[in-house]
Amino acid sequence: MNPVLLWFHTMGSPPSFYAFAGRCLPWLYGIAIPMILWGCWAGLFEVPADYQQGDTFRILFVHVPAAWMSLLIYGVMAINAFIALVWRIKLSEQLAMNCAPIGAAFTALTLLTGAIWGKPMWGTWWTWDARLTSELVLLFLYLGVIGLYAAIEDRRAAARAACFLALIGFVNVPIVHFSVDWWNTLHQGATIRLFGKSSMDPSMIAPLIALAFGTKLWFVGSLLARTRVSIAEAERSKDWVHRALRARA
Amino acid sequence: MNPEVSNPHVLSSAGRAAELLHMGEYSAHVWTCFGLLALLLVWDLLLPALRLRRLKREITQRALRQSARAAESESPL
Repeated sequence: MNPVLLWFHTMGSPPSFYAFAGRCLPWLYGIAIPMILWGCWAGLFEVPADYQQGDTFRILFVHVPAAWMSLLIYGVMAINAFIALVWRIKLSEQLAMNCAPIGAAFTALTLLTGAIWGKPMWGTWWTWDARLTSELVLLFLYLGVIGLYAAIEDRRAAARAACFLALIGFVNVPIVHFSVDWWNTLHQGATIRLFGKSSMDPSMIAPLIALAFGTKLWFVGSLLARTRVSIAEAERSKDWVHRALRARA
Repeated sequence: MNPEVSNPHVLSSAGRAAELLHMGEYSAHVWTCFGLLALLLVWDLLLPALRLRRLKREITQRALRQSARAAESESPL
């Protein structure tokens, strides 16, 4: 069998995934934490204040990585939801369901930091602008997935229903991303571009990239940590869980 | 003009720290946002660890109950 396919088959087994995730966690957090700490330090103390916004622009170093995470996590959730619905893979169900609380937290952080930034810059905490409204809809979608999964007693049926909602809600992701291009919004357009010239000052880019990569690695770590606990909870009567937890002690 | 204010390199360490923490007039806004990020990360790090600890306690208690029940059923009285 192809080694990649073989690896995926091995990961489908709960004990293998539990052990693999446990081995990855120290590496993921070990790289993510210094990146996030350095990004915060540089964003707060090393980058000079913006000539127009003064020090409030430093909120960008929390707001922008959080906003990117809110969209990326939804994408990961939707891909896993699709795999779970089509191929009925239990691990994908767990991965999709564990994306939801992390994504909801980052989306809430995006909205809160946006409001805190908006008050001094726009003069208002909130406006029904296309970007802000679609991001709020994203938060409701995450909360809907969490709520639906918690509301149905049969875990597999609950996961299938919540995966279905997650998949339908994916339509909102491009709306959030392109809202600043499609509508005339108070929210500014993209200043960082993967292809083409970014309009952001180069001194601001390094901490932002550190925070962007740091939060992504953090998310992978968090997703693996949450999923391995969910798997252990679901298989709590199995011997391998008892052995794994005893070995941990 | 006070040179400590115009040139950050000659600020005393306390003065520099105070200036850095002050963030112009927006310290509450900036520090609240970074505080929220820290709160999110701490919550996200602790939650799976707490769930795993609770599961471990539950499994240990169940094993203890089962061994106590087994000991009871094996006793001659």
